[in-house]
Amino acid sequence: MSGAHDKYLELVGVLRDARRSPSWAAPDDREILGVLEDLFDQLTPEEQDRANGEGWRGWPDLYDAYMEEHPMRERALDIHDPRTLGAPPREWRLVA
Amino acid sequence: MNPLFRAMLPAEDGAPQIGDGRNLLGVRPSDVKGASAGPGQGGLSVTVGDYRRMMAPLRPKAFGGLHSETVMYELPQATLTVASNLHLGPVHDRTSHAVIEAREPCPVPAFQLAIQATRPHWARTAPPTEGP
Repeated sequence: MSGAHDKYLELVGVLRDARRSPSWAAPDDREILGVLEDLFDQLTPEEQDRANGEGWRGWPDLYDAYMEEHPMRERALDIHDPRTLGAPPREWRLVA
Repeated sequence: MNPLFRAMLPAEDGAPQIGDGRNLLGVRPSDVKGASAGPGQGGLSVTVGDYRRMMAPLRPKAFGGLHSETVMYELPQATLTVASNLHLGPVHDRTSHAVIEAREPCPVPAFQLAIQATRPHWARTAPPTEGP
């Protein structure tokens, strides 16, 4: 993984944690989202594809549901391991 | 022709907010190279045909993205006429990214007005029922 990808994933986690706060308001996200937008341009094509498929990581409800279903997945994250790629459709059904 | 997708902040009337910042309908100062707008000079970023190619930090949650405030809008390419002085620049194969540029060279403020005149033609895109 590139340094930009490490930073990108770290900030997605920061975004997710901020959204857990009862006082969170959507405009609070703007600064981090702006940085994520700039970082995205520095990712490799493979990292960009992965980041695009993992928007669910930024949302506490979707992330928690995913981790509940796949408790070992977070520990096994590896961009070269196809078993860890992609989100199952259940997370997206929760959005609708 | 494929529609052009762009995630933007909504105004009170439901259409995109106009401005020159992120997630607004308009170009930022850094979006146009040089002193005037024109072909190859940059413009308004859009994703052509498939919103799943749009970068996650811009896409709304309902479209599989990270953004908490943007709404997905789409614009028919037919809106980009000679009369509008707008056209679509080259489309990047992998990302489906392109920019709406000035068709003929013009001052940046005139290009900004041409972009913002498309506001009535942007329609909200319905979210997918089962995600991307």
